[in-house]
Amino acid sequence: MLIINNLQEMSGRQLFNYIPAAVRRLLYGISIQELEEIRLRQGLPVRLHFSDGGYYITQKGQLVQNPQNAVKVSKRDMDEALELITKSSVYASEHEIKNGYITVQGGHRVGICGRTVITDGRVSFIKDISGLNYRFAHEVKGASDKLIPYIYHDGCVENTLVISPPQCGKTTLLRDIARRLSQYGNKVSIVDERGEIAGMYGGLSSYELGANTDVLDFCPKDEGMLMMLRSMSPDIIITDEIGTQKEIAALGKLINSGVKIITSVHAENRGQLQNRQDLARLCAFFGCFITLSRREGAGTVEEVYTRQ
Amino acid sequence: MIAKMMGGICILSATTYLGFERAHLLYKRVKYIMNIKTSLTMLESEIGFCANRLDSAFMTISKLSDTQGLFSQTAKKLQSVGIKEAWEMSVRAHREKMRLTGEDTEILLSFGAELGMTDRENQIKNIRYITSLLEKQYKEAKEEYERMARTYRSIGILSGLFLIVLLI
Repeated sequence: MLIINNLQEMSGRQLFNYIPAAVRRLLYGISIQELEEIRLRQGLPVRLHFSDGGYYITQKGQLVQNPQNAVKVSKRDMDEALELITKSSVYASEHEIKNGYITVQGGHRVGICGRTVITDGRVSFIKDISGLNYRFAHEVKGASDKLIPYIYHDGCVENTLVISPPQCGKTTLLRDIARRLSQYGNKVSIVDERGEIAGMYGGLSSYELGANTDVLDFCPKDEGMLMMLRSMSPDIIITDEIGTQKEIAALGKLINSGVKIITSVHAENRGQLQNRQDLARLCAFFGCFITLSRREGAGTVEEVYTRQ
Repeated sequence: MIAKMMGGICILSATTYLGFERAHLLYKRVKYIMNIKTSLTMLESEIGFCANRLDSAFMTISKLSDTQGLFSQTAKKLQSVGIKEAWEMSVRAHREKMRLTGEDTEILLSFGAELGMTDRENQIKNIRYITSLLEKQYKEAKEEYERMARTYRSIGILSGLFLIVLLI
């Protein structure tokens, strides 16, 4: 009998409800403290990624390096997984599937791979699902403690850009920044296109985001940021993974309307941003740059650069 | 004499009841198919306009139309099994009770096979297709009811009378 003795463990276990029963059975004995991803690929062994590397799992629930005795994922498991993730309502998650992932209860995200269906030159659906990636969302309260003085000083918020490759704790950091700034009494608006920052489920956030935080989720960022500006009179808008031309244009508008922006972008470091023409323009908007890496585990702060 | 009359009344009321009951069973199927059809129309809007998940859509429908728990039971089962299995179990559980024929059951089961697992457009197509099949079943059930209900009732009364005459 498993006794769940802390909240994080419990919220992490929620993700297990979306894993097909045959695989789920094996996972109960595993500590999920360090677990980052569970990958299911049709016909291939189940692979678990911990912060110290990847493992396979045997029929007895043991973690091994060698894929020989590892449990494999069948087509049936994949079908079952899809039913569980979408609660048997694929049509209701169409918009999410189109983007390649589904956010489930607890703010965890399941990435989807398969054959895409193209309508009018754009991806409209993914069928024949071949691979799933269950990503655990971790709430780390205090992740931004050391960075807050750079972002928030003398009652002023700096426009901040978090630069980080995938899986380095950028969303976790943004979430904690939102919580802290909201606690300081700023009106914080989160535009959560992927439903990852706030992990909203049935109108409630899966995380503690502070009492002054509004969330608009599953809305395209460019449109969402302007909607929030008009409707919620925010002091700060927080959003994740800026990248498209439209979003950069929308940011330009916002920065010039007196709202502070805190956002993130996928890149290795500041130099890389400068090399990309579209993103170099983005840099001009921000006053504070935080670079993350995985050098000493997810969330390692490589550099904080402020323009002063 | 009084005893004979009492016995006669008993026999007559029993056979009449049987006849009426038989006719009512036919009506049950007609009504049930009609209610399912109405529910499917609601489901179409739940899926088409609101894009609600099946569990919540089914709960809404079960509150609005009388399908004897077909939808609410499926919604409850959805928490532990997939839609196809949940729907199949519910349909089989209602089959006897609602006097559905083999063909009715087949149609409902084929509905479950596609339910939920395609995009919105195809869901609506599937619902419309199943509704058109049910329409046919409904007409057939209604015709059968109109044709047979009166016969069953008459047979009920007449067989009672016949028994009484025999026994007197």
